[in-house]
Amino acid sequence: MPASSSRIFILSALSADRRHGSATLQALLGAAASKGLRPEVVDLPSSKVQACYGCGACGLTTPGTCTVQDEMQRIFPKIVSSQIWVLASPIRFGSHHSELKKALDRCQPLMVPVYTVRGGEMNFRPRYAPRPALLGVGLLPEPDADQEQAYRHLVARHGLNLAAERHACAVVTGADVADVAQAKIELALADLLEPAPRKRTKR
Amino acid sequence: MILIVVGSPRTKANSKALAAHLQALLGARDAAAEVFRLPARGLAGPDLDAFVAKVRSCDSLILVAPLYLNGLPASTQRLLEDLHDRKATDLAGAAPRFYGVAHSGFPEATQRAPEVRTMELFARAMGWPWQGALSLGGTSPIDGRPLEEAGAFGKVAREALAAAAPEIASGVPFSPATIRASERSPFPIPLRPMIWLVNARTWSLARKRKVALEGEPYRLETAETA
Repeated sequence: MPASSSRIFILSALSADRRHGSATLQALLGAAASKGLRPEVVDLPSSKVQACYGCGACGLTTPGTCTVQDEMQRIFPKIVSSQIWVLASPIRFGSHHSELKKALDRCQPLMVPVYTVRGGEMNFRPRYAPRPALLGVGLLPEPDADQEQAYRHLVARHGLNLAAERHACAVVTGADVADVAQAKIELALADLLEPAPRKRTKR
Repeated sequence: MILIVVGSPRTKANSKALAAHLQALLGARDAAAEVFRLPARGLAGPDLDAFVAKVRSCDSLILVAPLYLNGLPASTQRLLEDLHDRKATDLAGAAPRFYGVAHSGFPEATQRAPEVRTMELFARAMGWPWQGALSLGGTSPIDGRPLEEAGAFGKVAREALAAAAPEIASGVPFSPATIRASERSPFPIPLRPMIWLVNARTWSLARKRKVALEGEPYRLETAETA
């Protein structure tokens, strides 16, 4: 369980939404501060992150290392050393904005190219332990039940496939005033900071 | 006209093999189909304008894309965002039938569910008729080869595309039977023994190449001294 002094690393594509992105980021930072967390933010739209080209080098050629030399080389260690990893993005068709998706697609090096069964499905083994808890913060311009449901399902799938220690999700809309948005995110963070029942974790 | 979009950034893409096979099946039914390969870097400027013009003039659009971390590859996601941005301008009035073909190395259809849902929500956001998506698992062993050369590993894909082609040619949605046929695992043995075999091959290759599979290059202490 992440402690309240935990490192919280935020990969954000929120600035891609010029109307509500900035306010949502402020709500996220406010929520982190209210829990005594120390956030670090990378704004992806202004970072030079290239898309994954599917070269597969991170599997058997340079295991665990992406060969593309760009900002991701500085981002990877921050993900690995964080206690809470936040994916913050406008929701587009129930998924992340492409600017966040670029960074996420590059995260295959976080997994070992060896398979295991997790959640009854075929999955890659995670490379690092312990792994951060995962928080998805999605932004919709207005309430949309279908997109919200799809996004929440997506974050749950990330939690399984990335073998996150825990995962949680907050969906904020452009209709939310600042303290409502912050309260939604605080609730999700509280889920990650609550003590979990002890269970055996398989790698 | 039917436009088949290959939404994979890989050079040796299974999406390209699937698209080519589908194009041939449609051609055999006198349904003209063009395959468009989305460049790995995406589309911008005049290239994007030209693609939008193709979309505007097609009757059906089929997006063939692999699963990248629970969703579409980023460049494909970006393409959908760009098309949506043009909904009210260059694409005003256009309403091609929208089909999806999602595929992944993982055999389970549940893994591709978010990707398929994104395709559906995109179609709805555009006001285009959503025709459903095939969901093909276990496609990694196809390895970019023509489906006819992929042997047993391409069997489910060949059969699913053969069932899908007449539906696309007729402009009707994929039937539940066609979608179910696509979701079958191509692996002839149960999951755990199959994983054991694949992993044994991976470890063997790692030994031959003298690479350490389980290193931690991005652990902060390691990264700082690298």
